Amino acid sequence: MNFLYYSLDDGSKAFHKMKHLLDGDPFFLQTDLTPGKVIPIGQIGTDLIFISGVGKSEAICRMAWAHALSQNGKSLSDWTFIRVDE
Amino acid sequence: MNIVYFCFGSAHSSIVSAHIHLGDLPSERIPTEQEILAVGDFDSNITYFLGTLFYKGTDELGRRVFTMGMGPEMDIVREAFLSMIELSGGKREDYVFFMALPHINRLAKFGGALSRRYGLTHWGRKLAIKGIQQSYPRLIEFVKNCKNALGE
Repeated sequence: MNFLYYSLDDGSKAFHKMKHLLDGDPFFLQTDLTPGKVIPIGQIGTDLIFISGVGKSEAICRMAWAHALSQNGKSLSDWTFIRVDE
Repeated sequence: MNIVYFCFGSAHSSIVSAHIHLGDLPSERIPTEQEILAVGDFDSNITYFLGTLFYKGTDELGRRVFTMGMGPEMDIVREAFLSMIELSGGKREDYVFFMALPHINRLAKFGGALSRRYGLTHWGRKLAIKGIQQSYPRLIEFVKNCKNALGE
């Protein structure tokens, strides 16, 4: 299962939230954050963890992610999108 | 190769550009109001479908042509789409994006906003069509430049 945690900024809030949950051992440095970009950040058990920042375009990015997955024949049901509020 | 014409709402500039590209609308003259309305998806998208990749057809060289409405933060939405393409096994270079919005005039944008954002479809659509007709030579040139950039 893939879990994408996103925040309504450039991804900083999602990064800090997941860094804490991943015991401060993320795959990448925060300077790699690019607004909109989906970034793999770690793994919990068999679950892959991703983060992103969507600015003010939450619904539009969620739709764009779904269509990108569809383009490659991937199932949306393998992904869970979770908004990080703080 | 996938070609994506994008704008704010995928209702006017990207739709007309995609249909010029596909040959559904003329590329040597200005279309009539009836011809523009006949493409079916002109002035029809709604806010819920922003971020949706709409397939419009395959061109003469076998390339798939799409439109997408990206709202006000187009760079973020494009990156969201492309990074997810990569993560799901695709290649970002297989998707080429062309922004159609700058190639229509204020009348087309105003009419489009009246119709799509404020629900004044009758008058908004008439103004949008008039604006598209006034902008049409620029749209033809835009699509021609896109095709040239693709190496046609």
